[in-house]
Amino acid sequence: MVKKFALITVFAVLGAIAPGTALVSAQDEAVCGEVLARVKKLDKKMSRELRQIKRDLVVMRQAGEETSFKDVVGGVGYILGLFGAAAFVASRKERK
Amino acid sequence: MHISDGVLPTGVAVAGYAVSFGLCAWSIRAVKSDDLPKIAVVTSSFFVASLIHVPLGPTSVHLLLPGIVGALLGPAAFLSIFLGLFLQSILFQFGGLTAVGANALMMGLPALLCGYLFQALKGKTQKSHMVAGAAAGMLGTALAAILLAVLLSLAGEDFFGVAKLALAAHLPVFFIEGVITACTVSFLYKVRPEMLR
Repeated sequence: MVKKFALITVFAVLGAIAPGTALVSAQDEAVCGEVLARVKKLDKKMSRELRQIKRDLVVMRQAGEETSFKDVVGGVGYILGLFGAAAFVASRKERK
Repeated sequence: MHISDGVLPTGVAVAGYAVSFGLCAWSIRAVKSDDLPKIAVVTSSFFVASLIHVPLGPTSVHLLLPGIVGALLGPAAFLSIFLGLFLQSILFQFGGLTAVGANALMMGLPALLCGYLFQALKGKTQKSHMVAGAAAGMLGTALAAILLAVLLSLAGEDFFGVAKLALAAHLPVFFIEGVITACTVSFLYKVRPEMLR
Protein backbone atom coordinates (compact mmCIF):
# COMPACT_ATOMS: atom_id res chain seq x y z
CA MET A 1 0.00 0.00 0.00
CA VAL A 2 2.76 2.39 1.03
CA LYS A 3 4.74 1.37 -1.99
CA LYS A 4 1.74 2.04 -4.23
CA PHE A 5 1.19 5.40 -2.61
CA ALA A 6 4.81 6.38 -3.11
CA LEU A 7 4.57 5.25 -6.69
CA ILE A 8 1.46 7.38 -7.23
CA THR A 9 3.19 10.38 -5.67
CA VAL A 10 6.22 9.95 -7.85
CA PHE A 11 4.02 9.63 -10.90
CA ALA A 12 2.01 12.65 -9.86
CA VAL A 13 5.17 14.72 -9.42
CA LEU A 14 6.47 13.54 -12.76
CA GLY A 15 3.09 14.27 -14.29
CA ALA A 16 3.23 17.79 -12.88
CA ILE A 17 6.71 18.31 -14.23
CA ALA A 18 5.93 17.01 -17.68
CA PRO A 19 2.23 17.35 -18.45
CA GLY A 20 1.01 15.48 -21.43
CA THR A 21 3.30 12.52 -20.98
CA ALA A 22 1.28 9.52 -19.84
CA LEU A 23 3.32 8.27 -16.87
CA VAL A 24 0.32 7.08 -14.74
CA SER A 25 -0.79 3.66 -15.74
CA ALA A 26 -4.44 2.83 -16.29
CA GLN A 27 -4.43 0.48 -13.30
CA ASP A 28 -3.30 3.19 -10.87
CA GLU A 29 -5.89 5.55 -12.22
CA ALA A 30 -8.58 2.98 -11.51
CA VAL A 31 -7.35 2.61 -7.90
CA CYS A 32 -7.43 6.40 -7.40
CA GLY A 33 -10.94 6.58 -8.80
CA GLU A 34 -12.14 3.88 -6.47
CA VAL A 35 -10.65 5.60 -3.41
CA LEU A 36 -12.22 8.88 -4.43
CA ALA A 37 -15.61 7.26 -4.92
CA ARG A 38 -15.44 5.67 -1.45
CA VAL A 39 -14.49 8.98 0.18
CA LYS A 40 -17.34 10.73 -1.57
CA LYS A 41 -19.79 8.05 -0.47
CA LEU A 42 -18.60 8.31 3.13
CA ASP A 43 -18.84 12.09 3.01
CA LYS A 44 -22.42 11.91 1.80
CA LYS A 45 -23.35 9.47 4.55
CA MET A 46 -21.71 11.59 7.23
CA SER A 47 -23.36 14.80 6.13
CA ARG A 48 -26.70 13.02 6.12
CA GLU A 49 -26.16 11.85 9.69
CA LEU A 50 -24.98 15.30 10.74
CA ARG A 51 -28.13 16.84 9.30
CA GLN A 52 -30.22 14.41 11.30
CA ILE A 53 -28.33 15.32 14.51
CA LYS A 54 -28.73 19.03 13.84
CA ARG A 55 -32.45 18.55 13.33
CA ASP A 56 -32.67 16.69 16.63
CA LEU A 57 -30.76 19.50 18.36
CA VAL A 58 -33.18 22.13 17.10
CA VAL A 59 -36.14 20.06 18.24
CA MET A 60 -34.58 19.60 21.67
CA ARG A 61 -33.80 23.29 22.01
CA GLN A 62 -37.37 24.20 21.11
CA ALA A 63 -38.72 21.71 23.61
CA GLY A 64 -36.52 23.29 26.28
CA GLU A 65 -37.73 26.80 25.52
CA GLU A 66 -41.41 26.12 25.34
CA THR A 67 -43.32 26.37 28.58
CA SER A 68 -44.94 23.07 29.17
CA PHE A 69 -48.46 22.58 30.38
CA LYS A 70 -47.07 20.65 33.34
CA ASP A 71 -45.17 23.70 34.56
CA VAL A 72 -48.22 25.94 34.24
CA VAL A 73 -50.39 23.61 36.26
CA GLY A 74 -47.59 23.16 38.77
CA GLY A 75 -47.26 26.92 39.22
CA VAL A 76 -50.98 27.36 39.76
CA GLY A 77 -50.83 24.54 42.25
CA TYR A 78 -48.00 26.28 44.09
CA ILE A 79 -49.99 29.50 44.35
CA LEU A 80 -53.18 27.81 45.53
CA GLY A 81 -51.21 25.68 47.96
CA LEU A 82 -49.39 28.65 49.47
CA PHE A 83 -52.59 30.62 49.92
CA GLY A 84 -54.32 27.54 51.23
CA ALA A 85 -51.61 27.17 53.87
CA ALA A 86 -51.93 30.87 54.71
CA ALA A 87 -55.70 30.50 55.05
CA PHE A 88 -55.19 27.47 57.30
CA VAL A 89 -52.84 29.40 59.58
CA ALA A 90 -55.22 32.37 59.63
CA SER A 91 -58.19 30.17 60.50
CA ARG A 92 -56.26 28.55 63.38
CA LYS A 93 -55.35 31.98 64.70
CA GLU A 94 -58.97 33.08 64.57
CA ARG A 95 -60.21 29.99 66.38
CA LYS A 96 -57.87 30.48 69.32
CA MET B 1 -41.87 42.83 29.80
CA HIS B 2 -39.35 41.08 31.99
CA ILE B 3 -35.82 42.14 32.84
CA SER B 4 -33.34 39.28 32.51
CA ASP B 5 -30.37 38.30 34.64
CA GLY B 6 -27.28 40.41 34.32
CA VAL B 7 -28.98 43.43 32.73
CA LEU B 8 -29.24 45.48 35.88
CA PRO B 9 -26.19 46.48 37.90
CA THR B 10 -25.90 44.67 41.24
CA GLY B 11 -26.80 47.76 43.24
CA VAL B 12 -30.08 48.25 41.39
CA ALA B 13 -30.98 44.55 41.67
CA VAL B 14 -30.30 44.53 45.41
CA ALA B 15 -32.19 47.79 45.93
CA GLY B 16 -35.08 46.36 43.89
CA TYR B 17 -35.19 43.32 46.18
CA ALA B 18 -35.02 45.48 49.31
CA VAL B 19 -37.87 47.76 48.24
CA SER B 20 -39.89 44.76 47.03
CA PHE B 21 -39.51 42.95 50.34
CA GLY B 22 -40.58 46.09 52.19
CA LEU B 23 -43.64 46.47 50.01
CA CYS B 24 -44.41 42.74 50.34
CA ALA B 25 -44.35 42.99 54.13
CA TRP B 26 -46.66 45.99 53.99
CA SER B 27 -48.85 44.12 51.52
CA ILE B 28 -49.07 41.04 53.77
CA ARG B 29 -50.12 43.19 56.73
CA ALA B 30 -52.93 44.62 54.63
CA VAL B 31 -54.31 41.16 53.78
CA LYS B 32 -57.45 40.08 55.57
CA SER B 33 -57.84 36.33 56.01
CA ASP B 34 -61.24 36.39 54.30
CA ASP B 35 -59.60 37.73 51.15
CA LEU B 36 -57.09 34.90 50.82
CA PRO B 37 -59.06 32.80 48.31
CA LYS B 38 -59.66 35.85 46.13
CA ILE B 39 -55.98 36.75 46.20
CA ALA B 40 -55.07 33.17 45.33
CA VAL B 41 -57.34 33.12 42.29
CA VAL B 42 -56.20 36.53 41.04
CA THR B 43 -52.55 35.54 41.53
CA SER B 44 -53.08 32.37 39.52
CA SER B 45 -54.72 34.33 36.73
CA PHE B 46 -51.86 36.81 36.69
CA PHE B 47 -49.36 33.96 36.65
CA VAL B 48 -51.02 32.23 33.71
CA ALA B 49 -51.98 35.33 31.72
CA SER B 50 -48.47 36.17 30.57
CA LEU B 51 -48.00 32.65 29.19
CA ILE B 52 -50.71 33.08 26.59
CA HIS B 53 -49.01 34.68 23.63
CA VAL B 54 -51.28 36.20 21.02
CA PRO B 55 -49.65 36.55 17.60
CA LEU B 56 -50.01 40.14 16.40
CA GLY B 57 -48.34 41.17 13.18
CA PRO B 58 -44.67 40.26 13.14
CA THR B 59 -44.39 39.77 16.90
CA SER B 60 -46.55 38.29 19.60
CA VAL B 61 -47.87 40.03 22.67
CA HIS B 62 -49.09 38.75 25.98
CA LEU B 63 -51.26 40.22 28.68
CA LEU B 64 -49.60 41.82 31.69
CA LEU B 65 -52.66 42.53 33.85
CA PRO B 66 -51.18 44.85 36.51
CA GLY B 67 -54.20 47.13 36.25
CA ILE B 68 -56.84 44.54 36.98
CA VAL B 69 -54.79 42.90 39.74
CA GLY B 70 -54.53 46.28 41.46
CA ALA B 71 -58.21 47.03 40.97
CA LEU B 72 -59.30 43.70 42.42
CA LEU B 73 -56.81 43.33 45.26
CA GLY B 74 -55.86 46.83 46.38
CA PRO B 75 -52.81 46.78 48.67
CA ALA B 76 -52.52 42.97 48.43
CA ALA B 77 -51.74 43.34 44.72
CA PHE B 78 -48.04 43.72 45.35
CA LEU B 79 -47.80 40.41 47.19
CA SER B 80 -49.73 38.73 44.41
CA ILE B 81 -47.49 40.13 41.67
CA PHE B 82 -44.29 39.36 43.53
CA LEU B 83 -45.34 35.75 44.00
CA GLY B 84 -46.51 35.40 40.40
CA LEU B 85 -43.29 36.81 38.98
CA PHE B 86 -41.14 34.74 41.32
CA LEU B 87 -42.82 31.53 40.18
CA GLN B 88 -42.61 32.57 36.53
CA SER B 89 -38.92 33.18 36.89
CA ILE B 90 -38.13 29.85 38.53
CA LEU B 91 -40.48 27.73 36.40
CA PHE B 92 -40.25 29.39 32.98
CA GLN B 93 -37.10 31.53 33.16
CA PHE B 94 -39.24 34.61 32.45
CA GLY B 95 -36.89 37.27 33.74
CA GLY B 96 -33.90 36.39 35.84
CA LEU B 97 -34.04 35.30 39.44
CA THR B 98 -31.74 38.16 40.44
CA ALA B 99 -34.06 40.66 38.76
CA VAL B 100 -37.27 39.47 40.44
CA GLY B 101 -37.16 42.41 42.85
CA ALA B 102 -36.88 44.96 40.07
CA ASN B 103 -39.50 43.15 37.97
CA ALA B 104 -41.89 43.10 40.90
CA LEU B 105 -41.44 46.83 41.33
CA MET B 106 -41.99 47.36 37.62
CA MET B 107 -45.33 45.55 37.68
CA GLY B 108 -46.33 46.02 41.31
CA LEU B 109 -46.10 49.79 41.65
CA PRO B 110 -48.44 50.39 38.69
CA ALA B 111 -50.79 47.80 40.18
CA LEU B 112 -50.90 49.60 43.54
CA LEU B 113 -51.43 52.95 41.84
CA CYS B 114 -54.15 51.56 39.58
CA GLY B 115 -55.85 50.05 42.62
CA TYR B 116 -56.11 53.43 44.29
CA LEU B 117 -57.11 55.10 41.06
CA PHE B 118 -59.83 52.54 40.47
CA GLN B 119 -61.24 52.96 43.97
CA ALA B 120 -61.23 56.73 43.52
CA LEU B 121 -62.84 56.69 40.08
CA LYS B 122 -65.27 53.80 40.23
CA GLY B 123 -68.35 55.79 41.27
CA LYS B 124 -71.64 54.01 41.78
CA THR B 125 -72.94 52.98 38.36
CA GLN B 126 -71.88 50.15 36.09
CA LYS B 127 -70.75 52.61 33.45
CA SER B 128 -68.46 54.49 35.80
CA HIS B 129 -67.04 51.17 36.97
CA MET B 130 -66.31 50.26 33.36
CA VAL B 131 -64.58 53.55 32.67
CA ALA B 132 -62.50 53.28 35.83
CA GLY B 133 -61.59 49.69 34.91
CA ALA B 134 -60.53 50.67 31.40
CA ALA B 135 -58.42 53.51 32.77
CA ALA B 136 -56.76 51.21 35.31
CA GLY B 137 -56.06 48.54 32.68
CA MET B 138 -54.48 50.95 30.22
CA LEU B 139 -52.56 52.97 32.79
CA GLY B 140 -51.17 49.85 34.46
CA THR B 141 -49.47 48.67 31.28
CA ALA B 142 -48.26 52.15 30.32
CA LEU B 143 -46.75 52.73 33.76
CA ALA B 144 -45.07 49.33 33.65
CA ALA B 145 -43.46 50.27 30.32
CA ILE B 146 -42.27 53.59 31.73
CA LEU B 147 -40.88 51.92 34.85
CA LEU B 148 -39.05 49.46 32.61
CA ALA B 149 -37.41 52.44 30.92
CA VAL B 150 -36.53 53.95 34.31
CA LEU B 151 -34.93 50.71 35.51
CA LEU B 152 -33.01 50.19 32.28
CA SER B 153 -31.82 53.79 32.34
CA LEU B 154 -30.27 52.97 35.72
CA ALA B 155 -28.40 50.22 33.88
CA GLY B 156 -26.99 52.82 31.50
CA GLU B 157 -29.54 52.68 28.69
CA ASP B 158 -30.97 55.80 27.11
CA PHE B 159 -34.21 56.52 28.99
CA PHE B 160 -36.24 58.08 26.19
CA GLY B 161 -35.11 55.51 23.64
CA VAL B 162 -36.20 52.57 25.79
CA ALA B 163 -39.40 54.31 26.89
CA LYS B 164 -40.41 55.01 23.31
CA LEU B 165 -39.62 51.45 22.24
CA ALA B 166 -41.43 49.84 25.18
CA LEU B 167 -44.49 52.05 24.80
CA ALA B 168 -44.65 51.46 21.05
CA ALA B 169 -44.27 47.68 21.44
CA HIS B 170 -47.07 47.56 23.99
CA LEU B 171 -49.47 49.93 22.25
CA PRO B 172 -51.83 47.10 21.24
CA VAL B 173 -51.60 45.66 24.74
CA PHE B 174 -52.85 48.94 26.28
CA PHE B 175 -56.09 48.71 24.38
CA ILE B 176 -56.54 44.99 24.87
CA GLU B 177 -55.92 45.35 28.60
CA GLY B 178 -58.27 48.32 28.78
CA VAL B 179 -61.06 46.36 27.11
CA ILE B 180 -60.44 43.21 29.17
CA THR B 181 -60.31 45.10 32.46
CA ALA B 182 -63.45 47.07 31.62
CA CYS B 183 -65.34 43.89 30.67
CA THR B 184 -64.17 42.00 33.75
CA VAL B 185 -65.03 44.84 36.09
CA SER B 186 -68.48 45.39 34.61
CA PHE B 187 -69.16 41.65 34.76
CA LEU B 188 -68.07 41.50 38.40
CA TYR B 189 -70.14 44.59 39.19
CA LYS B 190 -73.20 42.74 37.97
CA VAL B 191 -72.42 39.34 39.48
CA ARG B 192 -70.30 39.88 42.59
CA PRO B 193 -70.11 43.60 43.42
CA GLU B 194 -68.51 42.85 46.78
CA MET B 195 -65.33 41.72 44.98
CA LEU B 196 -64.69 45.27 43.82
CA ARG B 197 -64.72 46.92 47.21
